[in-house]
Amino acid sequence: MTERAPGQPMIFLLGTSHRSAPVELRERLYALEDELTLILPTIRDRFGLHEVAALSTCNRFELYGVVEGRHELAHHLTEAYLELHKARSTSAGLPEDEVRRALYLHLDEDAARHVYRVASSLDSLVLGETQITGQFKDAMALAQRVKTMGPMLSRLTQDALATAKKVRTQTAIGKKNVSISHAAIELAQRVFGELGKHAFLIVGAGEMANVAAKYIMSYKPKALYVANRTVEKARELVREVGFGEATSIDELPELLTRADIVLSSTASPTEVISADMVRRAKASRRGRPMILLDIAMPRDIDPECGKLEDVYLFDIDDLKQVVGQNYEERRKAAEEAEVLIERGLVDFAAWRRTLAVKPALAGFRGYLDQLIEKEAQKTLGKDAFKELTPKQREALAALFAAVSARISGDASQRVLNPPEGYFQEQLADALQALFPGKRDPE
Amino acid sequence: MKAAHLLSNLGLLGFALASVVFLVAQQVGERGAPESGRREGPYAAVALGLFVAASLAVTGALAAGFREVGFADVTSLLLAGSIGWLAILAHTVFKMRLIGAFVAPLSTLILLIRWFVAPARMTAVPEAKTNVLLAMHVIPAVLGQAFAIIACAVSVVFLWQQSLLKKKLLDQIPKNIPAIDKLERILMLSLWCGFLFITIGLLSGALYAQLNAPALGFALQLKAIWATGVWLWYLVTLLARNAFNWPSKRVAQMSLGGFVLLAITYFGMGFFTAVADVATGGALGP
Repeated sequence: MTERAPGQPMIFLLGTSHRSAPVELRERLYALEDELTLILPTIRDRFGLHEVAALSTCNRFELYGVVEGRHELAHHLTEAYLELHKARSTSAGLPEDEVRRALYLHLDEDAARHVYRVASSLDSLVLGETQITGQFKDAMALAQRVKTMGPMLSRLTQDALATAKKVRTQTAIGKKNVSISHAAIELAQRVFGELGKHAFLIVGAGEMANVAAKYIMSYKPKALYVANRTVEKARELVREVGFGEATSIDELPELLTRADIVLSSTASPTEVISADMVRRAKASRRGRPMILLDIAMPRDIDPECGKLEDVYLFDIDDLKQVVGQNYEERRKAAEEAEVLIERGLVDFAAWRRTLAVKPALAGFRGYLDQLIEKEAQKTLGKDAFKELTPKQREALAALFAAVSARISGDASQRVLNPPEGYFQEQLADALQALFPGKRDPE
Repeated sequence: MKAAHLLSNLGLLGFALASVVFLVAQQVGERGAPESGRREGPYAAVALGLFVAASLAVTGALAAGFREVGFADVTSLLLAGSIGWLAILAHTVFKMRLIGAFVAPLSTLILLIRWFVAPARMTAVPEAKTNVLLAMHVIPAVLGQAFAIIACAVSVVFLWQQSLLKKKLLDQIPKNIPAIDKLERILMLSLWCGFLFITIGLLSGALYAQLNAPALGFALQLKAIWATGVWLWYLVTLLARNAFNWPSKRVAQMSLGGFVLLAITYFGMGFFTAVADVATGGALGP
């Protein structure tokens, strides 16, 4: 992890993802929206973070924010990360050492690049999946709601989302509709070959279940059962795909005897399918093999199910094996996407530089305003101008203001677009040294 | 006689060459390349061609032998031919592209033993014994063995694939073998067919012995007892699967065990009785 000089505000990104942590650890770090709503402001205040937002998905838990450079910054942020999780009601017994080992920290440009890549789905387990952009947007909206987001994160979010849109529309990455659900069904196909001869059971009726159901339908399955806590939602899904049977989640024991491929993606914080349930179902299956696909976070299916005979359990991490298959054909698209991201980063860096010179420009504008106001008062107070009507005085004030605005505008332009051989910071420093005026409040 | 002998030797040569080419195909990692639009890789295609040709040659040898000497002692040829055609069937119907690689060496071994042990000329079975009942004993018994061999080959693939799936090593599963659920179905089908034919073979054998050779010699007694044991082994496997839900893995392991027992019936019993004969100075009788 990198250290930075004290006093310098910087963007940070601290997190764990499918690249650094196994699903067992990631599910311990998965935080619900309600939890984050309560904890984010506390963490910001307690750890002196200028801004902070959290992205919690099945593949990552990342903190984005702005912090002032200090000694042992990495340690400080790690403590903030751990503290956030300790404050969650569902995080009892968090394996801190394991979390520390899985954490990665990026600062400034690297952090911004990572945010762009995440929002554009280039860092996703399923390269180019669409869900992450929505999840990223929701995470930032939450930070805005709880007022832990400031101008830097706000701008970073806007730019990252704009780039994500370009990546989707201008590269081939968005051509094929891919998602975790697609990858899960493809994994089932790798195991069973022909899927059309099998009965499917989808547990849950959320977005992932919806995508899965539609994809399953392309295989013309023998049967499709959708089980959900709210049966009406299951019925809606069945109506949408025009096939299948909607049931309550209470009927799972019976459904498990009939379904050969089970895909679970509920938002339940607790286990939905126990090993005992599957063991009992097996008794009536006469050795027919069964695939359990757990794409929920936290996981829905007891990992012990994987040890049962004729039962093949796969979780999100196992999808890596099928998503790699399409990698080659999407690699080129990803390379194009990386170019778009680098362009986006250049724009973002330019915007950030304006932040650095803004105080100097504001100071110069203040200096000019003060000067003009003072000189105008002095000049207009003279006898020669006593005869002026209020209208004429207003016209003169407008003239002074226009001259002031023109001068400060020109200076801003020169500073923001410096001539060759000069840097923005140099000109801003010179401006501040020459005209040390009152600054606008930030 | 020359035709039968020649075809039988050609069959042996074909199966031996097919074994080698199948091995080469596996070594170079041919996957049947479905993405390239080809059903087989070039080596696997050659191996399959040799395998089919060998099965045809063995079948031709059987036909030629029958035409030339009538009922002949052709169990080895019948077994090699049966497993050959069953493997081709499994390959065609169930897309079990790997099965030839298992069956070809086995057929080679069977024919090689015959080549060393059996006389160059086919021996006609004595006239008294050549009746329909004998054919009804030999053919189902050999078919039962052939299905058991196929079940064994399927079990090996099944256990291998299951182990890879349990370890979640999907990338290591070759694309030219059927999916796990299909393997399970082929395994059960082979076991049921094998069991059915072994049952018919045993019953017709018992009937034949009653009518033609009421006093069985020691070697035949031992073979009959052992064969009944093998039949019981398969019966227990199938019953346990259906009544007690034995997992497929255990069924596959039982099928491997069944194959070993069958091999003993086929090869080991003769060897054992020969040794016992020498040890007892012929006191045990024929």
